[in-house]
Amino acid sequence: MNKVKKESFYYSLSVLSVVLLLAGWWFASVTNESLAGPAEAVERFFRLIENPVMDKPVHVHILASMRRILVAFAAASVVGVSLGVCFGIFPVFRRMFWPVFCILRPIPPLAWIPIVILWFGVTGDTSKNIIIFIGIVMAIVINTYASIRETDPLLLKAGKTLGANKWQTLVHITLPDSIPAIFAGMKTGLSTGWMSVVAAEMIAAKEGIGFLINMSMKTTPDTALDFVGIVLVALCSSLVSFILTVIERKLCPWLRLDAE
Amino acid sequence: MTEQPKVSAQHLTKKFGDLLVLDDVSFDIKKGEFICIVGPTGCGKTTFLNLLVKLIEPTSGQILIDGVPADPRRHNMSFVFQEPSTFPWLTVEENIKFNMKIKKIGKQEVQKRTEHILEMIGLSEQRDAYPGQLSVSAEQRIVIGRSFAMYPDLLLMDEPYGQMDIKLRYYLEDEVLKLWRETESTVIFITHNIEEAVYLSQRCLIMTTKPTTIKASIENPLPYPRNVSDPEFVKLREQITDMIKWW
Amino acid sequence: MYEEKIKSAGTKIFLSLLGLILFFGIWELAVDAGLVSEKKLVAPSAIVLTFIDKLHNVVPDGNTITVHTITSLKLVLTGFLLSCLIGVPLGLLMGFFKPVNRFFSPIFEIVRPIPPLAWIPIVIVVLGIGIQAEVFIIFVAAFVPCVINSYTGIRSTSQTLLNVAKTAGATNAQLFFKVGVPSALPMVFTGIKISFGSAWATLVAAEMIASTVGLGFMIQQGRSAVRPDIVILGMFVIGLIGAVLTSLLSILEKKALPWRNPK
Repeated sequence: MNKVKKESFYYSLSVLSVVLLLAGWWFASVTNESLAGPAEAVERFFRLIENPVMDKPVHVHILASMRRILVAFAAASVVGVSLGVCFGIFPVFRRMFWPVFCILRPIPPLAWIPIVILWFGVTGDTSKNIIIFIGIVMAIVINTYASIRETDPLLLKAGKTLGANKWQTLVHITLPDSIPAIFAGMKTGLSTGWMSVVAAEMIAAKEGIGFLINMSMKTTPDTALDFVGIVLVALCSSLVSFILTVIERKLCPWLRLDAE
Repeated sequence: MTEQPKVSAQHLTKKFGDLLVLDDVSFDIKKGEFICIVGPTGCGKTTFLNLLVKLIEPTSGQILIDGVPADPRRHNMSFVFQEPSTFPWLTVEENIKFNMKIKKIGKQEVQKRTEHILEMIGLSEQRDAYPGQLSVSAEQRIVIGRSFAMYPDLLLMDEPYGQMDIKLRYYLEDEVLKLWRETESTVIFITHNIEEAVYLSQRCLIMTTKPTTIKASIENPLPYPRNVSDPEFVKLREQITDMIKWW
Repeated sequence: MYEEKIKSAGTKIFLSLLGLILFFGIWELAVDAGLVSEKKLVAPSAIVLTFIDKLHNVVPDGNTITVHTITSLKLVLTGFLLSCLIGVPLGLLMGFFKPVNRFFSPIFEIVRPIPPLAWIPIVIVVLGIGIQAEVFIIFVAAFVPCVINSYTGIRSTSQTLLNVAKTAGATNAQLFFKVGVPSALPMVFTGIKISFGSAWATLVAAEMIASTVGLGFMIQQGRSAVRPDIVILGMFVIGLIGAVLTSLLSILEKKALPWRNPK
């Protein structure tokens, strides 16, 4: 098979799988009355734009979720990188507090939900922000610390020979070298973050995409709304990831960040 | 009646896009011969070897083994690469058996040959170790042992000792000769080290820079084992060096 | 430059203990001195008592802690094992054979960014409230890392090793099983460990949202009943079990990959 034929064959395979997926969805919705099909999901989306849910139009919900995750992400990045750096370069700090961190780390971020709500209440953004924060910060701390610990000693020696002091070494050698790992930690943290957004909003919120998903579960199941919510989450999280990747490319022009 | 050559390269040409790498290369190799190919780095020796084992296809021309187009599934071929190519997840013994298992050789025969090869390369004691736990020289010995274990019709070696020190190189060169005689394989050995080429080969093919052709074929009638300080040896070495100086 | 500046082992141990003592000490003092309301936080010492109590007391959530734990474990292991059995081979095949990749990639890329919990309403409609729904959600959560890591692992198979096998005359199937798969195993195990973490975390949340038994449900009930001691107890048990099982997986990994252990 020549090259062009092969490529079009592969392309048709991809198209086929999407078609099969949609067909399967449609078939499932036909056999199950309560399950919405593709057409109903699309229609629900447009209805959603027109009718507010809980007195709030859909863009308010989207913005609520985005707002929470961006605030939490910003805070988690600052705290996470700082903590990771402290663990990496201050042996005393690491010896003292790494065990505490290791005790807290295995507790899934979502398991913090009840206690955080107990402390900060259900209303307002604080409790949700904290829950999202916890999820993201763990991944960033771990990645930052690991990367700093594994900074190529050759680079450090080179810096020393040129007369760099501790602060200069950190800012000009260690951190730039660690940027890819830190961004990887941010992306992992973000996916946990979105989980936390959805979960926190499903459990204790009055607005947001997770709230919409939760609404779809009450009384008469409104699965079309759930589908809409799912698409919204996927779009928003892809958008944020994409922006993050663009920033990373700008910061690290020396890396080739193509997949495969 | 002349015997059919074991390997016959006929008008091999290889282009990568517009870049002409191999230009009408033709030669024959007899069964059981030990050939060295010398040439500057980057002159297409590796491309040539890759063509031989069908890892890539020629733009034109063909390669015949025993009179039919070369085919790894049909012919018994082995390749020793420049980088160590042991399988890290197999023990020494399992590494040696690998090629034979691919060719589905019977269990008893496999065991017999493995014992023999292990002894010849001196790793019988470490048969259960993993390559990652051994030295680089041991690794390369494993690779050579593995290659010879399948009694290949054709064995190709691409600068296998490039990264080793002299003492090790001498030792491994003797190993190769030993195994070659035992298994009566046909060997094509690529090197840029002329002393090595004269030490090992029965015939030397000299390649030019790109676009590559075979410049000359020099017979090496010296008896084995060879002595690097022997005047005949030195004369041959200088002869080849002179030819190469024209690169 | 970042190596240990603390020389003696004694100092190292002392510092670690100091950190832990500070953490638990401040916690205990804050509660005992009344700085924090009993409604929000309970002293570490009291939590130990709660644990002993919960071993046989079914208040306020309807089950002892043992029952909750076993239920959660059963669920997570079922979902996790299923996802490994399906996800790992799929990832390996996708990474090695282009047609497989082209066929499954689109579906996978669509599903990947969706938080598993978001599927709960739909899953409940299709499978009904109950164990199947929870297992399915855990499966979805654990499935993604298995596939991704297996895929990445087999894609990074050394071309040289593949060439060795090709030269010896290997068929595509032989290349897959004898070179690709063993080569990918380290990353497969990393994926399995991540996958388990994901499964465990998702289970806890799923139990909070849609279950009447299990550790996640227990801490959610603890919150409703304003029993912070149960909530914190639950958090620690969840963390502990997660850590223990992950360690077990690491031990399993060491046994399965003997060539990576330094001599």
